[in-house]
Amino acid sequence: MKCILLTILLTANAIGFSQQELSEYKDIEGIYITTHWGDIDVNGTDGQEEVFNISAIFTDTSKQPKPIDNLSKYLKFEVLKKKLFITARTPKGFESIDIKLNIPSHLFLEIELLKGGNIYVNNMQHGIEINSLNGSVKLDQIGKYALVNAANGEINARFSHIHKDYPISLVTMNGGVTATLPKDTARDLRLISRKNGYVESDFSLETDKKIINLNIKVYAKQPIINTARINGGGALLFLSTENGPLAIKKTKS
Amino acid sequence: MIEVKDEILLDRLKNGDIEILGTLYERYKKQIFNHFLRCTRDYDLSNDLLMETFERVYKYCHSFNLSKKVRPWIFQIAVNLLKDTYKTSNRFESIDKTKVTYTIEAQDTSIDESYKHKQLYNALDQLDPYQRNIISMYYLLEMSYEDIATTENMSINNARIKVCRSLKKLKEILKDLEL
Amino acid sequence: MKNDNTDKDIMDYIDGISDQLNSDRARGEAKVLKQLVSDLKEIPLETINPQADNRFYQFINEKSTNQKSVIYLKRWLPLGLAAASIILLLFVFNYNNSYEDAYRALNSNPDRIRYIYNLNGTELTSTDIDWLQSELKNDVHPNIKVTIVDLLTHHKSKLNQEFYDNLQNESIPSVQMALLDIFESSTHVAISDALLIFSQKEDLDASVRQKANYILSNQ
Repeated sequence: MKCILLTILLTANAIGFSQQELSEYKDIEGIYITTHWGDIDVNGTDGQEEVFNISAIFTDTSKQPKPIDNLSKYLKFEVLKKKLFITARTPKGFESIDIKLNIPSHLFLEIELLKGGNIYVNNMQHGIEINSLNGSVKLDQIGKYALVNAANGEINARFSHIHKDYPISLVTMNGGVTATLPKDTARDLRLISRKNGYVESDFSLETDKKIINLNIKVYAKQPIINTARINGGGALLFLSTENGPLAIKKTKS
Repeated sequence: MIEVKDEILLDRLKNGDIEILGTLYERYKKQIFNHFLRCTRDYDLSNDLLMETFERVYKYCHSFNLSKKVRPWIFQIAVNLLKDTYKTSNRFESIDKTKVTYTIEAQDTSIDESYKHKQLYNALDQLDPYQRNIISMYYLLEMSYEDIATTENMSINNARIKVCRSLKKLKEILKDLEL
Repeated sequence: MKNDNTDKDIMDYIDGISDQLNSDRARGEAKVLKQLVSDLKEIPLETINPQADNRFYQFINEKSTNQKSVIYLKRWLPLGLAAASIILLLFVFNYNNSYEDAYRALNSNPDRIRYIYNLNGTELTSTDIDWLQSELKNDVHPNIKVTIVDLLTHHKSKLNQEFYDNLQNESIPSVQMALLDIFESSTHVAISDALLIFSQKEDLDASVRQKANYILSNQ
């Protein structure tokens, strides 16, 4: 067993897997991540399982993963007014830094991905704001609200709970947008799909006008632009894409 | 005295502490004012633009992302304001040299240095407004190529090239002035 | 292209990043330009006259007084008096600025999005439209901007030249696309020129460029 663990550790080191504890920042209220290229994976931890650490894999322009002895060469950590800012260095060429964070789920999370990479967030409960250029955004078991902007990439957001007064805005240019919500969610919807779209909904919708291809998975040529309500209406749920389908689903309890 | 970081100041401004705007003003007013003056050669206008820059800093501080640097953001507001002013007015087509004369602080500089500065000023005057703006962003505001590129809607490499060519042009003008 | 590379190398030399210059001529030129930059930095800065400073500090005082009024109202008036406080605000501030000033008092991005969205269906004056156009230009949050563009879609007839010119200043692809959607269905005279300049920008996303060219070709 020890040999296996040692082998894993050595292999992880060989490909540049380096973990850093972040527990010195435990008093913060939010985390702000800014990177250029690379995937971002954030996992919210809670209760007795609460951990607070970061690891990263660095890949240089020759596409060879390199060992990292010191994360602070590639990532800057700064605390300002109870907010932890993690900023990746300006890349040389197409170097990328894949980041994996395990952080307390009660923190506010903001991510800015300036060039490209996929974003995955799980179990963050206090609101998320994401601005991404190229890559998909997948949010799982998140809470309170989410504001997501992507240029090229689909958005898939699954909420375990939402704050009834906070808007949710999921906007992309190319790709589908899916919001999965608790079944008692009451929202005012703004649905925009400019081309190659259709709308799928598990909720019954009160709409301003007929929705093209509602629950018919056929890509429409005309734009779909509708205002609607679910469960009588409430705060805004804004789903918008230039190119792709929209889906409003119910969480399976 | 330890200087409080810009980002902390801006965070306080965002939370309603408007007095903080004064600290930012004192920190950057000279650079921003001189950038306007170099580009417009008009004291009154430069004062107006300086005032409006900080009005906009106050107005838009809520949208500032604290993960970014404050200084380039403030300078970008100033530079964009100048661009807007260029668009709405033709007053920079010809420079009114009577509006500003170069003031020499004789006690701080030698006569040779004063002459050199005056020549540089004259040469800057003769650059076209666009190149003058680019050079000032580079050496006076010390903006990064990335920030210059964002402001001028060009690539970072192009920003580097534009700065270089503006400097070359300035050098040519200086050479002509010396003849 | 060769000249471009030389220029880049010259700037790297001036900035102290490297001195990989290919020729003695380039090296000579770089040294001269480096000295020029150094000379420029030595030009003493002009001082600002005290009247300008006074004007600025007067502005701070005014804002500080107004702010205290707003904070007082928000803290002490219960929700049931919210309507009364709006009327009071209309006396304190110029009526034409009421939406804008209420917006300024908001602290978070979700609040701002909610506020903008709730303006749908309300009557907006040209001053309100100017304010929204200004927010669109100066705000950096993409989701707020897209919400503003969606709102302005319902007020196309009130959009002015500045709105169309501001396409050039927009760098966020999803916002660019939302703006182009307005352009596509508008007949304003400024559209063609604005689109032509925009479509030739460097670093434009391919989908955005394609859309801009498509609209241009159908003008």
